[in-house]
Amino acid sequence: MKVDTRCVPSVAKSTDALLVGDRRTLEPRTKLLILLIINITSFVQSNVLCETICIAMIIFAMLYHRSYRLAIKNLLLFIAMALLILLTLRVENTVVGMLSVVLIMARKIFPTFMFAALLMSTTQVGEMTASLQTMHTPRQITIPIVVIMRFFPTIKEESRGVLDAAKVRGIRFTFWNFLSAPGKMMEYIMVPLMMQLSVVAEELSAAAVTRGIDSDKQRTSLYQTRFGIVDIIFILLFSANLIFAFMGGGIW
Amino acid sequence: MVSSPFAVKMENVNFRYSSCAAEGLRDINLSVRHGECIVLTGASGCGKTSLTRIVNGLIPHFYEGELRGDISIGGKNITSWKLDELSMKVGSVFQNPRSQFFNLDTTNEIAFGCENLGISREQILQRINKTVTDLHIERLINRDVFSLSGGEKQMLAIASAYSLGPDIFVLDEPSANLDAFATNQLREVLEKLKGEGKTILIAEHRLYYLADIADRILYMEKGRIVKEWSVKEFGEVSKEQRTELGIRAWNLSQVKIEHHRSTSKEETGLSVEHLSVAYTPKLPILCDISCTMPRNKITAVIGRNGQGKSTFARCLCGLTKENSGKVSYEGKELPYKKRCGKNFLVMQNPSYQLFSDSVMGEVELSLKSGKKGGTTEAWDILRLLSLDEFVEQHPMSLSGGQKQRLAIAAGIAQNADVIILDEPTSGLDYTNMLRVHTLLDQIQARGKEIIVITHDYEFLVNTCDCVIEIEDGIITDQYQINTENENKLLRFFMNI
Repeated sequence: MKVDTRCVPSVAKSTDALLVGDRRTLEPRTKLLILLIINITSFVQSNVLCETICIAMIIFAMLYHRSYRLAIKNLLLFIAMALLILLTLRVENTVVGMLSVVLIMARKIFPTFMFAALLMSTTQVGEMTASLQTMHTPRQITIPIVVIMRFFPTIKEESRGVLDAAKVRGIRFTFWNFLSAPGKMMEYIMVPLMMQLSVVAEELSAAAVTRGIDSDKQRTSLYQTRFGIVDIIFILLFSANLIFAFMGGGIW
Repeated sequence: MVSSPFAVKMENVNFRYSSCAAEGLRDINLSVRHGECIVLTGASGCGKTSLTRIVNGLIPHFYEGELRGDISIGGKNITSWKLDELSMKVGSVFQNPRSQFFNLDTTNEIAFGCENLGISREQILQRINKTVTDLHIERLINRDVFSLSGGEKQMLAIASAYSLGPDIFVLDEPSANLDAFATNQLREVLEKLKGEGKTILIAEHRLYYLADIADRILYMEKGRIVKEWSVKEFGEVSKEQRTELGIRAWNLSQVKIEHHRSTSKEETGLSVEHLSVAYTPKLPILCDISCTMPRNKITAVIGRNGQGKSTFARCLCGLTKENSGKVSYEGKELPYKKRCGKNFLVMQNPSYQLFSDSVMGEVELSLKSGKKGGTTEAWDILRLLSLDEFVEQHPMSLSGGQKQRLAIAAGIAQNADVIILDEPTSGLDYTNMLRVHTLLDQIQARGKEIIVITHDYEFLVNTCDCVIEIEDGIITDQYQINTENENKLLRFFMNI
């Protein structure tokens, strides 16, 4: 069979571009570590300054990854939430009081969610496994990570299908319907969704078996990931904030 | 290196699934020479899928059961193959394009199998390059898997198997979810595999695209291989015999337009005027479409996937809002909000659409939303769709065809005027295809307008009256299905 040699360099080039990466990104392990640091920081800190620094640094990390839309969206969301909390604290009413408690809880975990969103949107599945495998992580850990990251978009796709189908059948997921028949509404979403997901899961695992997923050889990786100076800077910055949080963030 | 003249050899193989009621295999004797292409066909549930599962090791490793007989793959007995090593010998491609990839980017997906088997990075890169150049899939590299069309996903699945360097390929209904164009692409890749001397085993209903690739065709029934033809013999099988066995056409140009519907005057049904849909302003999906679909005819909408066909259907059903233009029924405008339910969509996968816990409940749910009550009506509808013996059953326990009928029943109960079906015959054998044909005739007789989106030439020619061709967001052609237009239609499907 004749091989078209013209396309060899182009493929080589495109795979190189993918692997060397003109993408600006932190090492996946750095991202996991920072995620952990943020998590602890959020629960230790009791101070607005510390929290603001944390949010600012996450926004900075987003800008570094060129995730501008994500940065703007999250920044606006956080400001809106902060304003709403200020507002609800001024009103003396039990219902509003409960709402403000919920909001304060949400604000606590917000930084973690922000960084998790960044992690998901800027990390290829292959990069993540490559990174973990350099530490000889067993495949019992790496494979589930592949599957989880693969499943998020699937859930999104399948739920869209279910919602469309419900609309065709005249089932409306309105606020009022949820209030009057919450059980029924959940059933209408969850049952078909779970059915579909379990079908996908079964087919996916059958396909996985034919691609050597339960081999006992040491797994290798197409991607190569390396720590850089930027990784260290980011880790140091977030760690400094964690220490600040532990000290009670007490400048004043 | 090759010690045995056979790539696959089975002697007196019997298999019974331990968990499910699915038909197993009985007395299978099969020898496949190296480089041979075998097509397995037969009604749904005849055991052809089970046979492919034995070759790729899913039986008995993944689907457990009682397996007896001698099986050797590549000259080596099945019991001495380790599953991961077998995956380098046998490459597998499955029916559903959306559930066989693991990575979100295509390049890493091709590498995935190699990574699992511990092949070094340098080798993986070489293999990716070889796969891409051998299969000519340069345009698939470095893409988001979710942005690929169904055909491209199947191509990627073949590439991912190919990169492991197997010399046997096993495909289970690979064209079931593909349009006519993607099926042609699939044929080209299979031709390449065959040209490289790979052994190919393929279980399929749709046969025409395999005419130049296959060497032998095996017909299965109730877990046994009951008939075998060479390609030459199979070309001579008469239409009557094919119909009796429920086998799809081998040569599309021999499929003749047969039905003679009454040439009654067209009654005004659904029509659209200057319809435009765009998800983003720069990227219109449908541009200024106008057409009429007669109420007493079955209209088929055809066209390549991703060219606006399904958006058109979604817009008609009130799932996607148009940017401009209007949709009317019997001359009266149907605003976006009122369309949903009046124009009822039967999805390609009807299991999405079933929400109740019994067949009767499903119809009653719809009667309620159609603001009409009464169980006599429900019984009436269920009888029409021959579902009356299953009233108490859970919808998810029904077969694919029964689910489809139940979805249609729900549409009728909802008092829909128009029933729109998305790919109602994908993955169906000839007998079941004819069943859908009869069903559509029956519901049309009840005064429902029918529109089908289809890639199935045999079904189209058998069942539909007129065709709307959509390409690049505009209607490129609209014509009656009759002998004069036969060549035009055939050309469209054979992609000449």
